[in-house]
Amino acid sequence: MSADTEGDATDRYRVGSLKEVEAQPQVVDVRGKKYLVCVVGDETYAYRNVCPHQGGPVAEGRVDTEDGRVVCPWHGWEFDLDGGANCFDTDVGAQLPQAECVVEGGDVYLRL
Amino acid sequence: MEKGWAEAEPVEEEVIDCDAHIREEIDDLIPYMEESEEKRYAESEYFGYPSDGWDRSAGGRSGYASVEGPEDEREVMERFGLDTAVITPTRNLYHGLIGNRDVANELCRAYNRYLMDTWLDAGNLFKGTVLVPVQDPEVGAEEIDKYGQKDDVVGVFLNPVGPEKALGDQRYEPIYEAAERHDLTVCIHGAATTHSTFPLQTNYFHKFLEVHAISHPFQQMAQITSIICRGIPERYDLRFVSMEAGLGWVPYIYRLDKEFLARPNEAPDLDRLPSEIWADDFWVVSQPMEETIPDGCIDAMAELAGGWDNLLFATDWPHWDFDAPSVVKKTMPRERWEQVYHENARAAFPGV
Repeated sequence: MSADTEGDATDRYRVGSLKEVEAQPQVVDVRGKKYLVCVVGDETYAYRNVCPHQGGPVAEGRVDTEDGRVVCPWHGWEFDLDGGANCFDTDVGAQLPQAECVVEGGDVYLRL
Repeated sequence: MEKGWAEAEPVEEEVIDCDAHIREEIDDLIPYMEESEEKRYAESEYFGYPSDGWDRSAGGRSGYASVEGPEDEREVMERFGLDTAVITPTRNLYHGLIGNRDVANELCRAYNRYLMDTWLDAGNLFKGTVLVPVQDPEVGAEEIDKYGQKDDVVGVFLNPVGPEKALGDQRYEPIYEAAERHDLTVCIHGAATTHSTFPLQTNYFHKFLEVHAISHPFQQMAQITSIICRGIPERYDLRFVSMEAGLGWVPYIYRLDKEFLARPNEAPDLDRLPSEIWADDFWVVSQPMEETIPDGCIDAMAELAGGWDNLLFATDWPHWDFDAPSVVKKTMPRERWEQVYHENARAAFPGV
């Protein structure tokens, strides 16, 4: 899925409606980079598609918003979707790179 | 699920991938088999490479990737920024478990023909290792003699998985003689699998987590103990590369020093301590790198693994436990990158 290719005046890129993102986590392409955008609980999160372990395409792995985890398809490392922390207490690959995500007027935006 | 690709830029430094797997299948090898009972068997529905049923996908979490031909490998190399790939098999990691010696020999010959024809003639990005049947070392020596002087053949692929005796046994000396004759590096590459032979009785465990954690290191420990103690490195002028067991097991070599000092009469060919033999004649591939060692320990780990001069980088792509080239930059000091990425590989594989 691609978000809007043109940002708005505040450099926000519309990902989709909140309802769409709630129904299904989205992997969006913005300016040549991919992001995982998802709703976990009452919050909306966005993460870069770069696993902090070895750089794998983590956004394309198994995403479970009920369980609140994403699993990187390269080596199976697991991260909490509510904040991006590694599910285990490790210094290596500790944190998913997060992107700023805004919900306004029923729509979800990435702000880059 | 597919493994997918990263968004990271290719590595700029020169990188020699010392363990780049292909996913060869029997259908790739059949055209290279001579008309024989063994070929008819390979064509039949009864044929299958040894297989263990362990779940490498972690319940579908880890994606799958394949390298079926040179174009696939070129794409991998371009994406990661690799410059040279030392080609190693996948199905034939289990070749040593084939009980029928005639089948083992024919498959070995076919694999080597396939490797030379499909890969080494496809451009000088790829370097080859001659597969030898541990079931029949004389045939192994013939295969080495057949290809040993070929451009782009840099090593011998020796299976620690399934040989009837440990690899230091005198029955395997035709292989070592031939490798020395052609100045080829002996590559010891195991497999995380299950078999009745030592040290593969991993059906002892419950999940693949336990199996994979110990398989490769234990196979290396067992076979290198035998190779060193039976004096192979003292009697033959050889280089050895330990593949796919990481670095963490290597300090065991100091235990072997102590054992040897207590009973040198049992290893009469040794003029050097095992750790000296290791430092002089062995290199070790860092994959899968133990990235989770405590901060500040990488220099100690490298020293205990034989020294920075002995460390080689490999991806092991497309296997699930591969290392991206970024692992060197994340875990090793800047001043070591060139060494690990390519300088040491030129010493370990002079023909590379």
